[in-house]
Amino acid sequence: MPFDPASYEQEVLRPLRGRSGPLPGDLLVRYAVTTTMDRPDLETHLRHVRTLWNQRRSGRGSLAEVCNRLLSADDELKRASDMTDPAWWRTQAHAHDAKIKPMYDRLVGDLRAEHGATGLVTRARLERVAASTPDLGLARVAAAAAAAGLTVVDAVDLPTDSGLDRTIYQSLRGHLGELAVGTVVHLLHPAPAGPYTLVSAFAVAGDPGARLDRATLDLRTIEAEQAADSPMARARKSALSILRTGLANGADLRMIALFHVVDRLRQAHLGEALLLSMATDLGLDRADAALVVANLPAGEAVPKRGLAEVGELLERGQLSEAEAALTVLPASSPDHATARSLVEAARARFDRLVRDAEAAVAAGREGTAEQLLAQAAAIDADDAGLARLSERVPPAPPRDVTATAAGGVVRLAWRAPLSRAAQVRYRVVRAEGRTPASERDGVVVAETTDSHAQDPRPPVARDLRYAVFASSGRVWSRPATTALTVLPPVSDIKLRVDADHVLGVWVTQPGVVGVRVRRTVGRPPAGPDDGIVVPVSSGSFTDREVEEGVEYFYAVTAVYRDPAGRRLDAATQVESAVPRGAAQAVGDLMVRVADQGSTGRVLLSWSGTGEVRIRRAATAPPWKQGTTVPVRLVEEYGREVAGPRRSTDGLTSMEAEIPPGHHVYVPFAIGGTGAVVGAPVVMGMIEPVRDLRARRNDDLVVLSWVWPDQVGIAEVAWTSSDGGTQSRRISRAQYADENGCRLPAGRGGIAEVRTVDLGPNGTAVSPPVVVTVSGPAVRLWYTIARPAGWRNALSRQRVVTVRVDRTCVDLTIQLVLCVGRVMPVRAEQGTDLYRQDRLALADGTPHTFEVGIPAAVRKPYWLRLFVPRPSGVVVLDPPVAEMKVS
Amino acid sequence: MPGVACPYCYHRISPHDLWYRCAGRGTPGQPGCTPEVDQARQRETGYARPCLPSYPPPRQVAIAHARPVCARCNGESGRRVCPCCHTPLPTDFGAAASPLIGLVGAKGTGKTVYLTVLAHELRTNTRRRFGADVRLSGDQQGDQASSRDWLKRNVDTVYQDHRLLAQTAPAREGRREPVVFEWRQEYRRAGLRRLATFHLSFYDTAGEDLTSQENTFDLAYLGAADALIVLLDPFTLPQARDRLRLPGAAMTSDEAAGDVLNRVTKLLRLRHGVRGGRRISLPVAVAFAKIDAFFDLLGADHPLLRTPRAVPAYDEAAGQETHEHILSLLHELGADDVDVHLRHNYSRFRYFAVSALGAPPNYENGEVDAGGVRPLRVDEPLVWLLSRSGVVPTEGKR
Repeated sequence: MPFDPASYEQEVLRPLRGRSGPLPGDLLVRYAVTTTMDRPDLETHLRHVRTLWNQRRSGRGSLAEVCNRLLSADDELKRASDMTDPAWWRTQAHAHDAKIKPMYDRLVGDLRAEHGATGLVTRARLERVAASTPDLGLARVAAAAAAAGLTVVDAVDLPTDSGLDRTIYQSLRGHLGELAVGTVVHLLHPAPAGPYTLVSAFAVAGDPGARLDRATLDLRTIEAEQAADSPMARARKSALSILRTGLANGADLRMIALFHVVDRLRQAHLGEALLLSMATDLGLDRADAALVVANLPAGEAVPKRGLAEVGELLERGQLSEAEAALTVLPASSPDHATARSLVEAARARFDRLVRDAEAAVAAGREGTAEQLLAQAAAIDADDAGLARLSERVPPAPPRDVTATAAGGVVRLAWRAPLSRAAQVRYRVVRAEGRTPASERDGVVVAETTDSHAQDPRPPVARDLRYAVFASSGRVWSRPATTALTVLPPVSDIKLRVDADHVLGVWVTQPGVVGVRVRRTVGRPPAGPDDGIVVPVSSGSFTDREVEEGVEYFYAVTAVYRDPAGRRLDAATQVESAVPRGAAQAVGDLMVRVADQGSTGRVLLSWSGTGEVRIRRAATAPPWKQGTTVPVRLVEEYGREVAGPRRSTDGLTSMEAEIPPGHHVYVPFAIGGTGAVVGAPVVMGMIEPVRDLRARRNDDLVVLSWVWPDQVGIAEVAWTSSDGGTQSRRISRAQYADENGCRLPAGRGGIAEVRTVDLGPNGTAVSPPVVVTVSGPAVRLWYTIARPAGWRNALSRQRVVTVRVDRTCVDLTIQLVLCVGRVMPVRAEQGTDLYRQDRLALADGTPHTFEVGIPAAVRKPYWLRLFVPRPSGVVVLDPPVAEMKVS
Repeated sequence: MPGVACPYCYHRISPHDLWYRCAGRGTPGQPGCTPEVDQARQRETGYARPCLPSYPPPRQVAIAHARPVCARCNGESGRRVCPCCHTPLPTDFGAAASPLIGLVGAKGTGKTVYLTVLAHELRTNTRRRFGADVRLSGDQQGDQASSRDWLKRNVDTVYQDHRLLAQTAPAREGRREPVVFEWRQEYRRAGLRRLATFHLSFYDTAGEDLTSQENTFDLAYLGAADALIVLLDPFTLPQARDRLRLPGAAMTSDEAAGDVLNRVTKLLRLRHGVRGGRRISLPVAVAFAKIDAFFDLLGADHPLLRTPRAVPAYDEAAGQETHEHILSLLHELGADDVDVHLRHNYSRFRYFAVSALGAPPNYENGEVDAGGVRPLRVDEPLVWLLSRSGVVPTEGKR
């Protein structure tokens, strides 16, 4: 075989570059000699090899250095032996084989141990092994791999990047972890039918239709959107959203999924066997898993420690981890100094924040301390000391505590402290005469997470101090305090009057030692000491020094004593009363509609001139007539009917505006003993129709109006001019269907329309609305015919018969002939064929006359009768066929 | 013209060659068809909602199979549709004459109000008068945005809210669906009582649509019409305007009645192929709208304002009287050119006076009279045309 300089350089010379130590011991490899060469071949071959060495030694660089070393060694060999002797080469071959046999055997074992789990080794890795064992050479290394049962495969380029932004990929990884989903494949195919491949293409065993594509992503997105909201659902939607965005930006779902698998394997730092198990556990097909593991960069089992990792740990708030990473970073590493400065700066900042937080707590600035500790936690969240310190720092106290006494209880309110704590609970403690020093110092009134509380049984007439403590963990804050003395006033004061006295009663709270009552006349008291003292006995007073009809004001004050015996007055309550005798029930109330056609005005009248209140309601009052009831109860019944009143001759009347509908009107006569219930009156009144109009068309009247809201029925009464009456009820729907209300007009009349409401309390009718309809005047109709007999079938003579519906005199009738197609509408448009003045016609007696049509008149022409006098006579034409000749 | 006009697309179709619409039920093991936009229906009627597919019947269907199967899903269906526009047709479509009655008029004449009130009258008083079963026809597949909805909205606006309707927009891209009524009535023939169903189709043209002869749909509509109601606005007659002292807002139409008639005549001559020397034989009811404005002018006892007798037939004598009174009124108002035009171009026409609202509305506020809608003689033009088609009898023939 002729010598190939290029191959020789590639396979022998180049691998020796940069290698220190002795040259490889296999002379047959070094000289590319085979044991089958004879002497002439050897001479020629060695000449070529040395020529090449000499050629390459002239240059600069590592290859020249290699060639120099080879030439030096060659000089030694040439001097010691006959290198053109084939026997010498065979001896060298045997000696070398014997020398490397143990090394070869060890390599076989090593390869089996290292790659036996996957059964694969990449060609690149074998080349690196061969480079590290130059005595063996690539051929022997390959033989060793075969002897170890390994299959040599070409290296596969595993992705070094997901195709997503780094931080977004981190988010995706976080969401997958939160979902407990192993891989991106499981996110898109939650239950794959079998192992899947990813390296060259995505395929699932047993599910040929499975895809990692947009359609699948869209499907999962829709499912996620339809799922009930939960943290898991939100994480799933976020992960799918990242994939959708990545896909839109050109990323490949398969590459994302493969990178995630490779990333997880790299992070595991495990041996090949365990990595293989892990990969298959992630669902990868075994062959694909072996391929991925075999292609993982050598040395992944050793965690990387470097500047990047230190920076990453610091960024994540893992200062302690960063410090650990720094310790394993060799001091000789160029990154060591930078990493160290970063770690030391973070530690210094952490320590300063903790010191400042402790100082803030000592200064009572708990909120500041909380913020500083949160900043420190952002630097090193795993610091156990920091966690303990945070637990011991109390939150800031609540703000703006207020206490209000009302109705015998004390209501407390406050604002939440300035704290970042998710939930704060509060404890309210009460003490007398001193401020509670701690959350246990006093009576615990309430413990709550709300920002308000109530003390249901506060001691009266005591100096009460309330303290509110806040806590977000085990430590309580400083107290926020407020003070209060509870002095409940008298309540439910009732004044009962008669003509000659006023009786007062009230209710007091426990702890009252007395009640003071003062009276003023005609005005409220100016203060608690204003007015005449009214004697009190047994929780009431009876004031007999009063005059009927005068208004008296009574100031009632509850009196307490504190533990020292000092008098404490509660707030003064004032009530007034006018002494007067008992009233008489009103039994003759009358209610009627005020004006015809007006809307909602009623006139009420009753006998007597005393104070009477009229109230109206939808239902009758709960009291019988004659019952005396407290005025305040009267005010709870219905609504007051208000309006101007007039009293004449012992009769009181009032006009008031009320809404439409049924109402029960009840008179209450007000007297000294209360209100006396009078006789109720029930009356329904609804709104009348509006804008009533009548339009007569010939013998028909069409009434139209505007319906009030909520009214569906109207009653229409028609009184004709001749005295006849008729009425009908028409609903809204009928009105719409019939296009108004239609009535026979006759000779005119009066239409009255009332709206009607049929309710549970009876029928309510509105005031009538009236419209007058004028009837037509005299009706006159006529016929035009040829004279009887067949001989007159073409006669130009016409017999005209005129009738009227009632007797009338002084008529002028005029029969007109008008030539042309168009019917004359006025007598002047034609020529008279007949005219008669002062004609008297009676109902039922026709008037007949005959006319002749001049021979000169040609068709078409019209014959039409007109009545010039008197005006208002309605002429009813015969059919067109009688009038028109064409 | 051969065949019957489809009341929806106005193409002449043979009642024996109707297509079928798939029921969407499919057959066991084969799913039914699903609704999709029917391009033909969209093109012909503007209906763009999904509907089940339509298919032609097999040749022997008329004698062998009353329910042909869908070629796609093999499901049977008896729902018949127009072969041109694929709109579902009533089951008895084609069994009797179904006059297609057109309604045209200039912009602002009040066609939409008239059609709304006429439709309401048809379903109430007119129906009662003739003892007929009158119902709105149309696609029942949940098509609420069609004529049914249109009519309900308009009736509510006019009758309930007492508001005038907004001007109808010209039909540009989407066409409005015609309002189709089924008129089912008993009649006697040869001493036997029979039932017949007639389909009345009304298409509410926007007034402006008539101003251009390029609107092919309107041309198709006029071409297919068996009879026509031409609504004229009397306010466009100069002398009427002067006598009525109308407010400015009442002048909703600014086109002379004669011009409108002239354009309709041109369209009809074009579509019906009537040469200039001949008259158009299509029956035309020339209705003067808004006659309520003339109440005071004419007086309460004027024959035009009488309420017609409610007999179950067309009163020919009363109709003639109305015709002659309108003719006289036209001459009185100096609008005799309208009559001349009609006489010279139409062999069958009649005048009518109608009032859809029964009282002048408040044109400024767009409000109907507070007393409500009280139409006068709105159905007379239709009844006359129906009598010409034999749908209703005629009384008092000369």
